[in-house]
Amino acid sequence: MTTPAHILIVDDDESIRSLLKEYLEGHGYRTSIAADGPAMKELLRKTPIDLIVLDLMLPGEDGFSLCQWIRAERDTPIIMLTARTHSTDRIQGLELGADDYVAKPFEPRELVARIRGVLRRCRTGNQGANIVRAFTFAKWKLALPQRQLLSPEGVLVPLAASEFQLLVIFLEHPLTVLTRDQLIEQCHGREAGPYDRSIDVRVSQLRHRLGDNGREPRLIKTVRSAGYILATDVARRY
Amino acid sequence: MTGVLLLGLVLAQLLSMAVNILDRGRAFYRSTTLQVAEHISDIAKALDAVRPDERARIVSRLSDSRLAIVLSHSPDIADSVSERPYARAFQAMLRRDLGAHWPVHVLLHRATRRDSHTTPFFSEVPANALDRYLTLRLFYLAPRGFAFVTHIQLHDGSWVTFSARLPYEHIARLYILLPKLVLMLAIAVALLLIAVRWVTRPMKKMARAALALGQDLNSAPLEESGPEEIRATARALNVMQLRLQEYVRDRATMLAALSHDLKTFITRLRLRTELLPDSQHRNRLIGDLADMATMVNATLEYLHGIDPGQGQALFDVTALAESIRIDAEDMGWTVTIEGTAREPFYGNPQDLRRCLMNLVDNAVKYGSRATIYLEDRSDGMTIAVCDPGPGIPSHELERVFEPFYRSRPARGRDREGTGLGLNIARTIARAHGGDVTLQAGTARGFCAVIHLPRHTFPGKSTS
Repeated sequence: MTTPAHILIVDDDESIRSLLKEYLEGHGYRTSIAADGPAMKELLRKTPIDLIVLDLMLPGEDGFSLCQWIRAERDTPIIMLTARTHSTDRIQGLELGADDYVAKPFEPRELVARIRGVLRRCRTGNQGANIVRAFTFAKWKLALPQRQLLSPEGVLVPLAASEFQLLVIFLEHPLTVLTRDQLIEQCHGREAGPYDRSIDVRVSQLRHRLGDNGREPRLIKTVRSAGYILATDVARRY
Repeated sequence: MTGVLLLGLVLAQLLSMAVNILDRGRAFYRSTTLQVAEHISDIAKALDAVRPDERARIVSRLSDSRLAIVLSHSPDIADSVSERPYARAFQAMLRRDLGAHWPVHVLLHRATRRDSHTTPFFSEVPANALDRYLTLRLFYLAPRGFAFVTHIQLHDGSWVTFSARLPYEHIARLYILLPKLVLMLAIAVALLLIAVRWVTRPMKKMARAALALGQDLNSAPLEESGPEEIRATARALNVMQLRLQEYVRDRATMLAALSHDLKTFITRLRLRTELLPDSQHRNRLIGDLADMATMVNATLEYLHGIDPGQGQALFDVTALAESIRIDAEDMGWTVTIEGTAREPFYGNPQDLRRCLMNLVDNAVKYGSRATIYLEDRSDGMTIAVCDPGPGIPSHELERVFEPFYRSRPARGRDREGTGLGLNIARTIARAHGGDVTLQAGTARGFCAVIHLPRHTFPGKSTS
């Protein structure tokens, strides 16, 4: 890391703003805070910001609308924060261009992990004004906001969180050999839990989910002594 | 409703037909008896005017199947008092034609069937009171009717006995009348059915609308048309719908506010704990806050209810179970799966994930590990989540589904439950037309079983 990332915290709750500021600064980030939309816009004009943690429920203009505004203006990654329960909120937030979504109350470490993950994704290149909404590959379709994998037969295939994560990594780097270390690094960008399995087990689970035969896989192929490769073209929908 | 109306109408129709027939019968009776009385008195006058030796010839000429005439010197008048009131009326008619000085006796006999074609025919006295009653009142319905036996004394002292069968006409021939009556009845019933449908259709429409209201509070309001009563009911239903919508809106607003505040507080507390020095108390505080967050989320979810219509799709049940297993294993739980689903299932995968996850959570919490048994039959899916734990006493098997109910051994555990997991699981299964039940002491251990009937797939594309 060169300079610490500058994070803008937008939340109408004074305590959460200052606590989050203190916590994130404790993790080495620089932070700014804003209580509402106008304050956020003002700050964005004056200061270069690397990532915005945006609360959904704000007085006046709400988080959804601010998210749209930010997307129209710039590429600054957004993590949405909300105390609402609807899963539709998450989908809507991601559809509007948020990069990730964290529900209140959250584990502070989880938020840091998400911030780290989003920042890494943005730095590693696939950064553009457009957020990928869906991938299609070999007649499969993965909708990102909904986290839904649709088989070629049109059947929804539920995924575990780790399966989804791994599949997204492969889809972001199609036709590229990914070493085990790279996969582990990307998968466990968040702090590795004590129960995390070996990457090989995860790959074999994912193959199984995609209807691939472990001995003769068509989609995720093993590259001897190197790693794995997603051996198919991937189309993106923005 | 249709049945009652129909029955009422048929009864009314039959009754009116009976009244009609009885009335026509009486009129017919009066006119025919008058004719017969005139005929008899004419013959009696004629016989009185000729010599006694010529009478036999005339009698044989005039006798026919309807009227038998017998000459005698001393008639067998068993009952000189005329029977009431038909015979008396007949006697009065004869007296009017003949004049008061002729001795006349009229008796009522039942005309017998067996000699109906012989001349002269015979008649007999009605056998008993019921027979007489029926004959007297309903003779025009009985094909053979009955006969007046009239004894008239001529001026030379000899007697003439007339046995007159009252003629019957179409009115008495029910078998001719019957098809017409049936036709009339059929037309009446058909008209009635149309009328009943016309009246009940708005009711049925309303019932359907009320049912739709139960399923979707935001369904379109009822059309306020039709008969006044229907319109009033529709209005009442519409007002009720508005009130319910208001109530639900208010509750949702309150829930949203409450949940927002609670979650804000928990978030603050959780962030504050990060500023505390690492200690056992801090860790306990973090654990308590996590439990609290779970509880708040589960309660909100419970109060929010399940909307089965949203997010329905054809999905892979085996993959759902496996994804739950992997998620659970990532949390350090031990979960295994037995069996597979043969065909994709149509339902809400998010809801069913929660349903299954709640059961797996219970199994791991109280039975240390979970085994998911998938059984796929043509009529439905059975997903059993079993654990080797002690389970719960049989008298609590239903009670644990009550919201916020916790069975005794469940208390004081490391991981406190919300008391809502089973209730939410059951609500989800029921929203899919199925159910969740608990089975204690099976070969697989203590099991929570989800039954899900296979719906007829609506054929919609899931994309």
